[in-house]
Amino acid sequence: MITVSRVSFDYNANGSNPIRALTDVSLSIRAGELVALLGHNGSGKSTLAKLMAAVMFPTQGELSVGGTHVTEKTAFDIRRKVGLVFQRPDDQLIANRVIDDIAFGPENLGLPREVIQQRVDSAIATMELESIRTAQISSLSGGERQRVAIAGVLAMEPSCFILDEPTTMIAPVLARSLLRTAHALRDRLGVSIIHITHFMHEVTDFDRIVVMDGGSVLMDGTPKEIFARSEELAAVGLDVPLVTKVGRVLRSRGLPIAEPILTAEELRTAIVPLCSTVPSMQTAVLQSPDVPTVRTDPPFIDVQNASFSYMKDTPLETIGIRNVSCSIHRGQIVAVLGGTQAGKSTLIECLNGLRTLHSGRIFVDGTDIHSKGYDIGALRDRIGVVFQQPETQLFEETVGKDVSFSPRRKKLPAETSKALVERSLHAVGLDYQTFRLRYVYALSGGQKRRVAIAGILAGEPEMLILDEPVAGLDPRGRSELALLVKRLAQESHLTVLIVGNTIDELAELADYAIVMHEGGVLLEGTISELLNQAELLHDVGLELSEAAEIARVLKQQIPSFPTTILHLEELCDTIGRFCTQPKE
Amino acid sequence: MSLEFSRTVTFGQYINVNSVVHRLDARIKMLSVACVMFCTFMTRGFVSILPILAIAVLIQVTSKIPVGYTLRGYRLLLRTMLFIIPFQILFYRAPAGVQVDPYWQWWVLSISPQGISAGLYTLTRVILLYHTINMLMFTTTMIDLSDGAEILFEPLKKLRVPVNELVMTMTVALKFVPLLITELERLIRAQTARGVRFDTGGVIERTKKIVPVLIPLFVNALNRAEVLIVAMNARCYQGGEGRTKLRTMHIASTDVFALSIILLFAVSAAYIGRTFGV
Repeated sequence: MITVSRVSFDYNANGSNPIRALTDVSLSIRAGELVALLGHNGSGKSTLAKLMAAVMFPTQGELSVGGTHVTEKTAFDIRRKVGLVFQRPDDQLIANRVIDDIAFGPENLGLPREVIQQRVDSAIATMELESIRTAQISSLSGGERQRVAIAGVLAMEPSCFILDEPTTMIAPVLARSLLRTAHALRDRLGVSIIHITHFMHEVTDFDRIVVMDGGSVLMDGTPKEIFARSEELAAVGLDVPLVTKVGRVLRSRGLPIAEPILTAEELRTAIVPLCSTVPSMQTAVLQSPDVPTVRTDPPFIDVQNASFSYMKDTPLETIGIRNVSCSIHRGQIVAVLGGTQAGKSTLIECLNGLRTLHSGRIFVDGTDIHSKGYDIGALRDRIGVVFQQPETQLFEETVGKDVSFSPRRKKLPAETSKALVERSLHAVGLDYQTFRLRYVYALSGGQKRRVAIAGILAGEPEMLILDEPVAGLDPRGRSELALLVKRLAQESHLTVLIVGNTIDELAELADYAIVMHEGGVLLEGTISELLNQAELLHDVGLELSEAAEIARVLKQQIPSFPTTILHLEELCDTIGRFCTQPKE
Repeated sequence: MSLEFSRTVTFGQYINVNSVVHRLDARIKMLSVACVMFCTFMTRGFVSILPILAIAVLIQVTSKIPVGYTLRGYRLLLRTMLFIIPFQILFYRAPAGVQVDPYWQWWVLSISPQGISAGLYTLTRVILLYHTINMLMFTTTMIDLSDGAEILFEPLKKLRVPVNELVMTMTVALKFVPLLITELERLIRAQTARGVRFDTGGVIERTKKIVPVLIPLFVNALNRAEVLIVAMNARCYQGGEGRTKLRTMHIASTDVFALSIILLFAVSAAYIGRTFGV
């Protein structure tokens, strides 16, 4: 179907300093194959995708699609065979309404009206967009937009789909449904699909995995073959799925488990026969809940029956939060968790006075922030918010200028200001002397995010709110930033609120967690209390940590298996306790 | 400063309620609007503008757009007009043959009942013009507007005007409006959270504060435009040549009926204005 032979590509090839993105890549994709293209940022996978879709052309080497050489002349024909779905649907959607956007491609092909109609209808049916076919794209959710983007490509009836990192920016629930769609398209239409991603656990059931690093192909094989080579993957900073690690650990402890394990279901099948009855004493230990220390001091923030709607009193009104009550004490680390549209972001905007409640009250240190004469400006200084993807909100030229924005605004003396900037940059792991004069645009995504956090810290807040601090980063960026946030939360003595859609290592930090759903509070308690309700959390679209997710799947056949599990070691130990020791 | 621009700025929003007006053919609506606007300029006073007012009320009622929502859109316009109208009254100069009896007069400035009436008449005309365009936007999707424009301006192709490309440019530009508004809200929110007060300070200070918001906004918009070019290419866009259309437009009997009514009223307004000058 697609043949890539000895292709190299330079950005700015004719300019003075070309940048090499691909070196001597050879690859062939068969018709109807479901292929994952894995690798870090800068490994060349997106470049390869653009070459295959004929929106860029190789500097050296040759590409052919269905026997046709890819050149600027044949580009039009290639593009109708290879459909490209972008990372952000907003970059791809052209028209204003769903149906018109889906028709855009077929219209460009100059097809007769009846044919366009028929293709659009079938794309709408396949992507289940019937209910929103005439809706305005600007009114759709992220997941719906992505489905429209795919439908738009589908209507061109390509024989190959390339999905360029569609899961990086979206919530895990949406990512899962997108992957289901990819499988369904392949199974029903027989098209080949090339899915580009950073995430290993997404591709365990693919036909084939191609791992790229530094502009060339590092590995090419079935998931079993690839994930058996975990040391080589680790050497280039890629990780195997957690369940594969669990399999390895258990095997090293002498359990008869074949390598590699790729899914939780596989693990379940492997360990169920090994299970013995559980020693009651140990379960008792496992299930003893953490006793939350009851705080008797007055709360720092007290939210009472808060409600807020967007576009209030217009035909476009939607609910943000409704009837939310919660309280946060000084020095606490609190997690606010929930799926998409749960109202998490609305809640934090209300907390720091960016939005005015339509009913209910918020007390900070005992004072109602909506009372007359309350200094909202001062409140915003006390509660620092790091919004989602804060790197897109940096506005000064250099790192030093951006971080010193708050101190300068407060007209602090130069010395104090400098000290603050230095301390804030240090807190996010960036060296003051090295980074002070760096241009913001030249930083990497992860560095920009650190700078954005430093900018908030320089405002010396009493409380720090982090809205999905690791979302949209690649796995390396995620783990680095998660480590940073963990350290900040533990060392800073600030009151910290972490907002997320996953019970991951960041949520675990929290002394207390609030689960939101459809604008209201669904559950609250410590993380382990919440994990007792793993099935419910799963149902409301909250993502469990990989370990808890595996535990949830195991529990389905081993009813006494606890779901209050957070880490790899804990999971392995628990499984170990449930399994009979193999005879020497 | 409110963080919800889209809530207070109603201009250009499409309000998706199903009504007779919504279902009318976009070309008919655009022709009607052009006709109403032209005839509004032909009116001469409060009598001749009455038929135009009647059209406005008729459209407002049949479109099922909440009156409150329409009125909200007038705030900014009224504020601007409150600033302009006094000047018009003060600098009023009567046309030949009109008797002016001012309450007060100094140099070229005066206040007279005729001046006040002329000022109010101007205000009514501006509001009616604004209302007409607003109603078109409220009840017609962008795609209908651009498709309609493409057909209406078809004859210009003979003059080598790239009509299809211009219409596509318009469509894409309009697609960016809600995206840029969301982005603007996000940037303002982020900077507000870092202590910038957009709602205090004088004109110069406020302008200064808006610059750091606009810079990332423009940079982001340029980046997006670049990505969009790739996206359009990837979906085989090659200009208007050889492109077909899914949508067709039909003129139904309701369209003819609606246009006739509007023509009747609008032309009678122009006729009264021209003939009787009232």
